[in-house]
Amino acid sequence: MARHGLSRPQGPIPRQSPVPHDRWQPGCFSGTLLFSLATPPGQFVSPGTGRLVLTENDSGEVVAQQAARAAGHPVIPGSGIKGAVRTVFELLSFSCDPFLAADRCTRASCCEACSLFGLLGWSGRVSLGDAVPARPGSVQVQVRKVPIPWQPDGSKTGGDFRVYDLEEARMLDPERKVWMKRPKELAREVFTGELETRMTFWNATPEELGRLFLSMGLGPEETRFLLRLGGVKYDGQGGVQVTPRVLRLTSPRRATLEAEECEERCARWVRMARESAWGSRFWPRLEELANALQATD
Amino acid sequence: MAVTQTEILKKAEQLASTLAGGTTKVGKNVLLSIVADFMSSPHPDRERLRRTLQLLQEGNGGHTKRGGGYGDQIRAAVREVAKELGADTSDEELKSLFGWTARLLLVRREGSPAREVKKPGPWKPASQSRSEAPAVLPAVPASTVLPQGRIWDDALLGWHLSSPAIFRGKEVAVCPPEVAPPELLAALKMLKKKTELRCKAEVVKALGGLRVARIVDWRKVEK
Repeated sequence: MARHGLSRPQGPIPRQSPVPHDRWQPGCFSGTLLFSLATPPGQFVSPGTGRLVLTENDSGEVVAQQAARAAGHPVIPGSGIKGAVRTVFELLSFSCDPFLAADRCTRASCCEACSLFGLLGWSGRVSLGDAVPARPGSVQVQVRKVPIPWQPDGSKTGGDFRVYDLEEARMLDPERKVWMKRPKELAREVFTGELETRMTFWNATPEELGRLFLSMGLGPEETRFLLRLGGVKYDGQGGVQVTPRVLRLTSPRRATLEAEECEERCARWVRMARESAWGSRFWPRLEELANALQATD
Repeated sequence: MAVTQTEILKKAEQLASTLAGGTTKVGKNVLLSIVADFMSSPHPDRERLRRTLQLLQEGNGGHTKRGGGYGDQIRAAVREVAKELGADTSDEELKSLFGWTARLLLVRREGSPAREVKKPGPWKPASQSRSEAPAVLPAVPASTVLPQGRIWDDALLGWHLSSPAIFRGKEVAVCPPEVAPPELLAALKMLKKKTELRCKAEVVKALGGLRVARIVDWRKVEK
């Protein structure tokens, strides 16, 4: 199976006045986290642009779906990263459905996800920049063949959220009645290597930060997963390993934490999230999500 | 010889009519996906675009194999854009032409009804040849299939009420699994393609729970 349907536990959506992002709140943390996004062996990330471009690969000229660029350099748009993290955060909280007009959050009354990530007219307290190559030459752009996307059958995967595992796309051979890998026929530009980006946060509580890191796949072993970005997720691609590099805090105290100090602080916030009321409710769901995302052939 | 903006606009109108008026209606995004590289370059390379079109026409990259009408749109757009490349216009004029055409395609789409209304007629499975006369089936009243308060602007499937049941407050007729004919599956695929996204999600969810229903007719429902 490649596509999994997951739902959060049943429960009311707690809403309250959102924490402001423009006035420092006592006891909350503001700062930036510099982190890297690396594609593990066998994985690539391919943020699409909708454009077809003439490129070249080993077999000569090929018209491929173009991957995102900024000033000619490969990038993963920050909006896409934020969306991917928010989706996981929503799955792991009693949050609203932003697309459901009848039950929408407002600037005066926000669910947890809208308070942290924002909504129309409210900028939220987390922002992510475009991921750019970590070093010159750290990202390779290639043209790969991927399966042609197909319309998924929504009735086959229940649940409110659909996630893809790391398995290659399969199809049923109608003649032989066996499952086979989908043929890879569509040319697409993909990135492999290491990119880095920066997440800025304002007035976030330690528990919120812990949940944020868990939503990026930064939990302990049993909840660790590759964050899924870009296209071709249906073929088990798009997985990136998130690694915190530098944490710069501006509030409540200025501090710059690097390497082990940074990891230790992130792990501490994750522990605080786990030991909170949220952890007792949502930890099993997080483990289920990690299992689904990391499943392979 | 320089062409005035009015003339470019007239040509764009013609091109948009050709793209949107054929058997395959080309969308703005498909046109732009092909010419975006040419349009965004400060020094557009006409030969490169010509080569791209040629390769696309030959099926390079697998883009014309894509389903959901996308492959057909690519083929139609490539054909028409290639004709424009052969005309006596400068690169800047071509950029302007494609830009206006994309805009007109967008405006037409927004101005026209959300979906093309097909003539009502009995549903035919994909395997049935066109020459075969379809069986005349009794029409099902629209009220039996319309979710309350929802306006459907496309062809709908009718449901045979041999074992009616109410599902989630919607009037959807169902049959037990053993009566599901093979045509049902084809019809469901057709329904998914033809109904708008919200309707589709509703129907798919309902069917996901029910799995089967026997289809005897599908029809257009007027507002």
